[in-house]
Amino acid sequence: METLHLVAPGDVITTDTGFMRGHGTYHSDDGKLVASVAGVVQRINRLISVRPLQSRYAGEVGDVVVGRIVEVQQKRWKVDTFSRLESVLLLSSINLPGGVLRRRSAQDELMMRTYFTEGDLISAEVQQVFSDGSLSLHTRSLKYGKLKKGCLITVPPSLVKRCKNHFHNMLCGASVIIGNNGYVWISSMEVDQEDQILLNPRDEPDTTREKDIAITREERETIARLRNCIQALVARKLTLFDTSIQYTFDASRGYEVKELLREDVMQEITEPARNID
Amino acid sequence: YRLVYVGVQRSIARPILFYAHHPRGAGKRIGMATQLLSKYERDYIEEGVNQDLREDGRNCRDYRSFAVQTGVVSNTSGSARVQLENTSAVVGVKAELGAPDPTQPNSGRIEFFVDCAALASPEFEGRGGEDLGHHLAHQLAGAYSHSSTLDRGSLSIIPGQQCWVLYVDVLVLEWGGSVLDVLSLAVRAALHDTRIPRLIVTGEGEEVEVEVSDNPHDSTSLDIGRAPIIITVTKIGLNFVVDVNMKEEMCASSRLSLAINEQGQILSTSKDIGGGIPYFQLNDAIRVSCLNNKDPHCRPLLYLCNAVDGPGGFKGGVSKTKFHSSLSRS
Repeated sequence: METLHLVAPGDVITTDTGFMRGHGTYHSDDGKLVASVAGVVQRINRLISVRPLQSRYAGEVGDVVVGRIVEVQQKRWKVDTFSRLESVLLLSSINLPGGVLRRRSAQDELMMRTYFTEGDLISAEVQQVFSDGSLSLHTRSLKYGKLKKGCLITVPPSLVKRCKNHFHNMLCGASVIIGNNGYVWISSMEVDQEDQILLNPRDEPDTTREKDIAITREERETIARLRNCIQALVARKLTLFDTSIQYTFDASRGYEVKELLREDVMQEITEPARNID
Repeated sequence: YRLVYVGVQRSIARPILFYAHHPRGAGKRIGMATQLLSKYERDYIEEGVNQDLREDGRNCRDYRSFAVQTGVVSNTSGSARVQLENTSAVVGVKAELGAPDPTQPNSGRIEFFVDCAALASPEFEGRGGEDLGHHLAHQLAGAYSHSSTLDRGSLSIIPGQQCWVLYVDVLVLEWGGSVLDVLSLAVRAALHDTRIPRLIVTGEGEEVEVEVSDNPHDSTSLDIGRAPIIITVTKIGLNFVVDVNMKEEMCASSRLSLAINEQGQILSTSKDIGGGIPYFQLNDAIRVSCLNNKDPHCRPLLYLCNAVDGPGGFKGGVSKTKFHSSLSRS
């Protein structure tokens, strides 16, 4: 494995003036090429750039993301996905209740807040990336939609491994959605399976708690344990995917859930996950 | 400096259940970064608190692990830094000569100043953190207002004319819930670390001269055995919890901050966030924070007190190599 050239902001990358500067670099006053972010130097022919270790999420088409609705606008919602710009969820990109395929009417526009309101969490897929880098999302599949009772964790997006499947039903009885944007959603398994169409029917507005999804104490403990395992993996800067989470979870069985918050315990339970990739 | 890690303490799981209707507070929340939560997340957190199993597996009475370091700032009389997950603060204490309060000529003074750094939260940009800083300083001053907390008599030099004034400057670096608890802990640790130089007073009457000793090690320390710690008890759903993180703080209906000393006496209280606490729940709120003398491992307060001046604790500190003979505030 070749050694990585790591730089910090302000480090001189090279004094050779023949290179073109890419992202993450700048020319200092005396002509040297200096890094402006902390990251790894990448050289492609005569172009030098620095890939930052931690940055906001830059979406690709087809990525699964977990986002939070921050604004309701005309015919679309603005979603926070930890990107540089807020992502967009168009009214035409969601599944209407009943699974009907029809044109969105003016009535639908007025009912937008009953579908998704500010603060709601959704799982969605990136449909399109605009020229300014912002994302357009869609929830046009039964597996996407509003997320209900569970726990959200934010991790650096660079730690999330790109997989074919981001919806995992863990062996311990909880379900985990690892969004490419670093938002990880943990909930109990029953909630995901039975409640696929997570939007209310049109004639029942979203003001009443229709069916209160009860989470048992065991499920709550499992969710808390998974949460602490994921935090431990993040603290050790290990890649996050279903196998690493499962290994860490198994290694954590000897400890109480709240003991997993200790640093020495975190170090121990993430040992099995270090050797896989 | 010495670094001490304090682990998450064990506690007896005793959820306190009440069936009274609780209002969901909608009052102004001071100093909270606006974080949206869905109603389902709120329900999840509230039910968790009702079952005494929070999001990260802690019980209602558990504090997260934190670390205390003393002697971190070089040109102060005493300093400390406390880090509790994603909340951290640095405190510096400077002892300077000044005039005593005319109503208390035989006592020294202690003054607090809290600065909420802009990097702690987006709303502290520019002068955004000023009001909150004043509020926190006021609460700290209230906690230390009673004469029993510090031996102010020992800070007096010439009664009515000169005394030591302790300027306690607090810098809040990160804001992640439980801020007042962390500040009070850091203040107590910094006061523990404070060294007041010994003085030589010569002359009498009009011709009194005060000489500060040149030897940096010729100093006295403060007795903080009766200094309080502030424990914030937050009401989420039907129960009270200590040490909330940001998400839980968003679900809180009301909050009670109690300044308690090691003897179990409450020295000052303050209540935040709009929701009301029914009077019959007050006892339980206080109980969550400090009672149960029989099992010291269950008492968050005693645990925190011992963390700060624990066995062989912070008496070493960093030996300050330079002593400033000009006691200006720069």
